Amino acid sequence: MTRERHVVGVVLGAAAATALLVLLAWATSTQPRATVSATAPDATGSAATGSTADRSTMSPDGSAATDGTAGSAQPTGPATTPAAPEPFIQNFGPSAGMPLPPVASPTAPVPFPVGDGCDHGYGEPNQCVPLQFPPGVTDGCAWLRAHGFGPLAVHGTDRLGLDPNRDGVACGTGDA
Amino acid sequence: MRRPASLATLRAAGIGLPVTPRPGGRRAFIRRWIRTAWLLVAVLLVGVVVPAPRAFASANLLVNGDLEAVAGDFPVCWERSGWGEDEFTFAVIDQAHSGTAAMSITRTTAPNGDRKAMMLENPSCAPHVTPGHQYDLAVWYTTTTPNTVMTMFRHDVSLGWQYWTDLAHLEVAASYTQKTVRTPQVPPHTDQISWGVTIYGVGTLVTDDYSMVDATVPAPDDECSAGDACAKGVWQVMPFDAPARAMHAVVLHNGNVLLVAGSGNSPENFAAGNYATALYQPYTGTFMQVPTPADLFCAGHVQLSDGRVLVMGGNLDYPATDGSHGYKGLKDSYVFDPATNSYLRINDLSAGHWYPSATILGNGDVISLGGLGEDSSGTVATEYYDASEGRWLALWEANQTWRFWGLYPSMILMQDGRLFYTGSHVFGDGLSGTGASIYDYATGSIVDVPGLSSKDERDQSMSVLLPPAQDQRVLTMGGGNIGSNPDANRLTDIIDLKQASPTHTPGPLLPTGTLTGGVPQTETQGKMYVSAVLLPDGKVFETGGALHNRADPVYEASMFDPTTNTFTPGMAVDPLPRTYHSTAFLLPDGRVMAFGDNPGDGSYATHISIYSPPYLFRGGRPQILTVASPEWSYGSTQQVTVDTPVVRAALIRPAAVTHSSDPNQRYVELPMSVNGNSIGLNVTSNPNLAPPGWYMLFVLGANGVPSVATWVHLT
Repeated sequence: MTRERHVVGVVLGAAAATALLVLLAWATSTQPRATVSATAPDATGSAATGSTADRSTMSPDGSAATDGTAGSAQPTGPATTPAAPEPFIQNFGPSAGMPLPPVASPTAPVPFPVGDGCDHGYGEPNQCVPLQFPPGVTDGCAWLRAHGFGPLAVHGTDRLGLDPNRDGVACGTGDA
Repeated sequence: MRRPASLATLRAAGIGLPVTPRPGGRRAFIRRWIRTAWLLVAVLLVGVVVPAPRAFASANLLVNGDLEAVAGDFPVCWERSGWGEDEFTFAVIDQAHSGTAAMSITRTTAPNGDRKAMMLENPSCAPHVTPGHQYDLAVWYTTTTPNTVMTMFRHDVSLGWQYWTDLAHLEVAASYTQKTVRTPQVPPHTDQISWGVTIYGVGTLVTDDYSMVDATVPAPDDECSAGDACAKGVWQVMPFDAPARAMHAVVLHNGNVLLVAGSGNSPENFAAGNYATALYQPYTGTFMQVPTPADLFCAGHVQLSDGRVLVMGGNLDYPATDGSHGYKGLKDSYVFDPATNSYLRINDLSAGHWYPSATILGNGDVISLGGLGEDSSGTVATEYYDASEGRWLALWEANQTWRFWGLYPSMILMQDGRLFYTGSHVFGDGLSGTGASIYDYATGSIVDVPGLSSKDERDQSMSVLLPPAQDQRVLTMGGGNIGSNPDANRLTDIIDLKQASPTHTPGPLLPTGTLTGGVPQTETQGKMYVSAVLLPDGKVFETGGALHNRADPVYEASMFDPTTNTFTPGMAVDPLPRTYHSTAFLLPDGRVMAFGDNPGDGSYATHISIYSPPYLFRGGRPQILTVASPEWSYGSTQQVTVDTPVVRAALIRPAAVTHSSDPNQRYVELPMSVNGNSIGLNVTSNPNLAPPGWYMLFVLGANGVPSVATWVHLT
C-alpha cells in the first residue's frame, strides 16, 4: 500500500467511525427527525426562500404508521381499465390576504365619468378630443391640428376653450 | 441499470445494504448499520470531496436511485413529504423491481393534500444539473390509483429550493411499469433538482429504480444569413387591407381569423346598421364577409370548448353630443360557429356590457365581468355562461358580488379555479384598493393583491400569463390613463401566483422606442395600447402602443424571456402605427399578425402587418409528422412523431383579443417522453391550467425553431 492510499484509508476509516457513532445515536433516539406537522399544508412547492423548500416533510410519528411493516403497501388486485386522473390542483396561495367586505346590490347607477377619455362636446362622436391634453401642451388647437384634426363643431359648452370666437367651431379660422 | 460509482464500488466489495425490516439479532442489526454507515460516508464524500458531477449522457445521476441503501426505515437520500388530513403510510418493502427494496406510499383517505417521497434537498443527495440541459427522469412503479404525478423541485442558487413543475401522470399498473419523462430545459441559476412521485388520491403507489440521465439535445450550429432578421425578425405589410374596421380578432381552429368590427367605431355605420365581420384566411390572403346581426363593436369574446366563439355585449349606442349619455352596452349574446361561418343568437345577458371581460373556466363555462350598461353606467352584474346548458344564467342564478370591475378587466384563470384580476383594464383609473385582486366565483371572495405599480396608470396596459402556464406567473406591461393623459409609462410588474401571499414585484422597464418622425422617447416615456403575444419558443413578443390617449404612436418592439425576466430590446418595429383599437396575435404558422389603429381624429387604419420572429431565420423547422389523435384528454400521454429532435412541446390557446386584453392566452408546457422521433406528450390533469378547447400544438427544434402548429382538441 502506498503512503497516499494509507492516508486515504485512515481518513475513510475515521469518517466511517464517526458516521457510525452518529448513526447509532440517531437510531436509538426516540426523537423525530423532522418536526413539521403531517397536516400542515406546504403549498406543495410554495416558493420557499430558504435553503430547503417546504415540502412538509412529515414526522415519523405522523398521523399514520410509517414503520415499514405494512404488507398492505403492496399493490392489491389487478389494475382496472386505465382511468383518467383527477385534476391535480396545487394549494398555492390559499390564504392571500383578507377578503374585501361584501357589497350590496347598488340602488343607483355606478358612475363612470371618464367615459372613453374623450370630450364628445367637440366634433363627431367617433372623434376624440382628449379630456385633458398631454403634459406640456399649451395650445390645444395646434396639438389637435398636428394630430390630424380639422375644425370641430362645438356641442354645448366649450370646456377646453377651443372656440374663443364662439362661432360654434372649435379650432376654426377665427380661433387663432 | 448503471449506478453511481460509489455504490457500485461498495457492492463490488461485498457490502450490502439493509432493508427494513429484516429478521436477525443484535449482531445483524449492527452489521447492517455498519454497512449503511459506509454508504453514508460515501455519500458524504460525494458531497464534500467530489466536485458537483457534470451531467453526461447515459449515466444515472441519482444517489441511491435503486433505493437499496436504507437508513432507519427509509432509503438513504430520500425523505417523506406532503401534506393533508389524510391517513397514510410510507414504507420500504421488499417486493422490488430489482434488488430488495422499494418504496410504497398508501393513502387510505385523501380528503385533501398529497404524499410523496422526494430526494433529499441537500448537496449530496439531490442531483446536480446544468442550466439549459434536459434530463430524462425514469421510475419503475405500480399504482392502484391514477392520481399520481411526477413532481420536481429546483434549487435556485439565489432563492433556494422551490417548486418547479409537475411532469407526467402515471397510469394505473398492477405490475412494474416504467415511466420516463424529460424535464424542460433547466432554468438559469439552477444547480440541483429534486423529484419524486406524488400520490394525491386513495391507493397505493410503489416505486423503485429511479434514474436520471442527461438527455440534452445539442443545438445545431446553424448559420443565419438573413442579416438583421436573424436577431430582430422582420415585418411585412400586406399589400391589401382588411375589409372591416375591426378591433376584435379571434383565431379559429381551422386557421382562419375572425375579425369583428360591428360598426367599427363609426357612427355613420351605426346609424346605417352596417355591422361588419370579416373572416381572414391567412394562407390565401382572402377575406370573407360574415353577416353580423348586431353592433358587436367593443363586445367580449372567447372560444368555447367546442371551438365556437361566444360573443357577449357590444355597442347599444354612441355617446350623445349633448353629453346626456356616453357609450351604452348591449345585452345581446351570440355564438359564432366556424363550421357555418355564421352567428347564432342565444339568450341575453342580465345587463348591458360595453367592454366586458370573458374568461373560460376549467369546466368550460365562461365568466364575464365589467363594462358599461344600457344606461352608460358601470355594470356590476356577474354573467355566467353555463356551457352544458348553452345559455347565460339569469342574474339570480349566478353568484353576484355587485362589484364594478371596470372595463375589459383582465381576469386570468388560476390553477385553482380562481380568477386573478391583473390590474390591466381599459379607460381611466384602476379599481380602488391595490388595483389587483384574486376573485373566487364560488365563494364570492375577493382579496386584494398588493404591489401593482401606479395602479391608476395601467389603462390599456397588457397582462399575460407567462409561459409556461404551470409557472403561474403574470407579467403586466405599460399603461397610461386616458383621463389624466400623462405620458404612458414603462412599468412592468411580475407576480408569482404560487406564492402563499402573491405580491407584484417590479420587472424590467419596457425598452424605449421612437415617436413620430423618429424622435427618441425619453427615459420616462413608455406606452399604452400594448400588445403582448406568447410565442411557441416560450418568449413574449410585445409590440405597438402609443404615448397618449389615442395619440402619439410609439415604434418599439421587444422580446421578453420569462426564464431570465429580461427584455431583448430592438426587435424589428411594425412600420405602421398601432395605437387604440390595435391588436397583435399569434398565427398557427408561428408568425404574428397585427392590425388596427384608431387615433383621435377618427380615422381607422385597416392595414395588416405580419411579423416573422427571429426563430424563423435560424434553420429548418421541425415537423409534426403524425398525431395519434386530435382528441386529447387531461392527464393523458399523447403520441406524436416528429422529423427531427425537439426540445420542447406546448399547447398555445388561440387568440381572442381586443383592446390589449386576451386573458385566455396561455402557453401550456407538455413534458415529453422521448423515444427517438416518437414522443409522448404528457398533458396536465388540471383543466384550470389548460381550459377545454382547441389548441395549437407546437414543437420546438433544438435550433430554437418552432414547427407549424397542429390543432388538437383538449376536453
